[in-house]
Amino acid sequence: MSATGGASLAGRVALAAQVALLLVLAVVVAVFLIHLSGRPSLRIRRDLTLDQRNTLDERTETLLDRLPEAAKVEVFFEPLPGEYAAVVSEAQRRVLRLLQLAEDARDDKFELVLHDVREFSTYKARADELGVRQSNVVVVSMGEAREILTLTGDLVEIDPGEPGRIPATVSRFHGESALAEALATVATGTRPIVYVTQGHREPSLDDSGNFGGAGVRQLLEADGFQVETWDPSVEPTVPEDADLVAVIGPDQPWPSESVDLLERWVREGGRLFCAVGDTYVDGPNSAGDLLSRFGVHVDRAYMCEPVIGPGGRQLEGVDPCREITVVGRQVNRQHPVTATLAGEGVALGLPRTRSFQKRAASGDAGSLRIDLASTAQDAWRDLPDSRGRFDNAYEPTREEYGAQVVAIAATFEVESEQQGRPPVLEGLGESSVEGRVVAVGTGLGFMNLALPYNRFFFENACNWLSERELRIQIPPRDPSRRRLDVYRGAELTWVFYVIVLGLPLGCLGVGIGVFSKRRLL
Amino acid sequence: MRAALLIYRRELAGLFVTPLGWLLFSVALSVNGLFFHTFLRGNQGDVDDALAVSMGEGLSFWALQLFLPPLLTMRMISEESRTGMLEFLLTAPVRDGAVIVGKALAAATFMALLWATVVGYALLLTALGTSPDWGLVVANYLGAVLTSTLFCSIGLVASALTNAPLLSAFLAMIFNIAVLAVGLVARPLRELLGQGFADAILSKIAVADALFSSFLRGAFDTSALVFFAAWICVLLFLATRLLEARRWL
Repeated sequence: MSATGGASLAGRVALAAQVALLLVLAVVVAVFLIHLSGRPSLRIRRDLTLDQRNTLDERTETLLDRLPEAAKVEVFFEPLPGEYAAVVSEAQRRVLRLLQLAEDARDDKFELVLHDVREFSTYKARADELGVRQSNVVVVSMGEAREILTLTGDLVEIDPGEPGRIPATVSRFHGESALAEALATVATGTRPIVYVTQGHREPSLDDSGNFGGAGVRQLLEADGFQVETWDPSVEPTVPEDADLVAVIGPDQPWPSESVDLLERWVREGGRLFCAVGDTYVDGPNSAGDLLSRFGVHVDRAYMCEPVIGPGGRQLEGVDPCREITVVGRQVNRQHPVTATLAGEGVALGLPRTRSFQKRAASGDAGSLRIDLASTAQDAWRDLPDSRGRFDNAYEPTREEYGAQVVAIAATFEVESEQQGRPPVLEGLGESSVEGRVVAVGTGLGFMNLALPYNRFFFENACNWLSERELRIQIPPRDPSRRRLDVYRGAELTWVFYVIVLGLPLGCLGVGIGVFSKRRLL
Repeated sequence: MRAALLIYRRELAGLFVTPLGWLLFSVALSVNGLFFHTFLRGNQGDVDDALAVSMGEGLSFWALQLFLPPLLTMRMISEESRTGMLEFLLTAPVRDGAVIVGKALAAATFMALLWATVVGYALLLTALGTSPDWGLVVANYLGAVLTSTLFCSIGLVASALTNAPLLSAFLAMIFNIAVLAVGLVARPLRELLGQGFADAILSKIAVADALFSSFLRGAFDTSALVFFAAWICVLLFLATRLLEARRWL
């Protein structure tokens, strides 16, 4: 068979088969080599950028190395319409780059999952499963421990600029620091343990009736908490392994020793959720007494607001007046407990609630009290008459009219004790200890009947209370932006004339010259 | 090796002594330059982003990758086959592999010169007082050259498959579209095979991912280098085998 001769059909088929087989072998070898080259021991990666944007901080790398198992990081990003679309998109891009960098660095310890909002049903189902109710969040989880990072709260800071004049920009990028702290938190924390007090007419966690507490247990366990009970009359000391104590509507006094011990526990960095009782409110060793030690004073009056009766008339003097509804605009938009509720129609449903006043308390240095939720402006504080009865009607001569605070958060700085730090955190950052309290004016709002209206508030409160601040100080990454002045000066004009016109026309000219020369030849 | 260099010089000269080569160069420069200028103006003058758009992140880059290598390589084998020049080449004491490597290098050099003009943009910006991140520019350039070499190799395969240059160009464009469309099958592949296995497959074949995860970020990564080198070698190997098969057909 000559070099230019033909071949028979069988010959052609044989040749084709041979080429195909060799191709398959070549592909197998290529895939194998690509796979080998990706192994950490064989891979060399060098960051050529000036600001080292492709290099994780040493502390982050150390932390990844020490993780006991792989962390799963799930991203729930959505585009934001309107004037902040561009800056949010940039923020998302930077966060994704960081996360991909971490995954590239240690894909055995860092699993990145990007949820696509275009597949909305899957996206929503997984978000619901993780308890995510905001948009644009990153969820870091390991086992049952979970941390949620918000894009525009935890990961980046945005300068809103001036609408129409100065565009919004990413002012600071805390992504790596926030990610490291979240990894540290999930690596060290198992399920937070919440002790719910019992034995003083609080709703029983085994009671599924309207005024039982079974819903609280279900909600907390579904949210990743381990739920235990604590009867201060049996054991006055707060259990050692408690991450959070929940006091829901006690209507009997506690032993004074246990109240003192609980106060001390909170001041030493403990976390307390306290919803006051209905009948025993501010007497000695009541929930109100406990809260007053933190500068949060419960008022004995019930909060009331008018209800809409038949014909659309506003009614007073009826029991439904004591069903206080707190809507989205009446909550604190900044605080983690209530920020996600700001957009809700009904944020809280509080039957027979009291209100709070903030007053100075001993040991107040370093403490902070923040209003979480208030009644509407047309509410009033309903006082009892001389026989101790409440009429649910506004009496201008002796009852105060106007919005009152019905949920409040308090924090206390404490000196951080040097406790044994888990090995994963050795040499990385510091832990700060802060006592926290969330107080609500009624325990009835967290019993089975009313809990569905308040579940998000309760979940947020417990999640905020059970957080441990682990600060790993990684300097914010703000890549230096090299910008040409495109508004003033002639630089952009130069770019246009040289790059858009000069170079192409120059090449065209050379081409014409070559063409002319060839024609002459 | 010497034969490959001889063929390389011949092909490169052939690209630049014809008006077509300069015309292609001019069109590519004007497309890229226009996108660069538009992006620079629209992105508040961010020079690093504008250069990255021209060398990998932008539509102009991928459009040029889609169309230019097929047009460069369409004549390299198919035209020579049609005119009978290929017979002389095949009977010369030159290995088929050297022929393919020389031609591939020539096409890749043309594309490398095109992307070098973007480095020229960076020099102009420096002269205007805003120096870019040169490490990023170098990494972007490397990525652009490797990607172009890959697409030129695809073009050579298409050219070796047929005697008609236009058909060769068309085939190469179809192959290029298929390569770039790998991302579109990611979702159904994950549903079919599970995320882990699907991602393992995609990481071996997704060109855009290899580029974006390394050179476009300003990182020199040996795994990305091996990715491009491996697939270029496979394609050149295939082109060589197809050229060899012509002897017997």
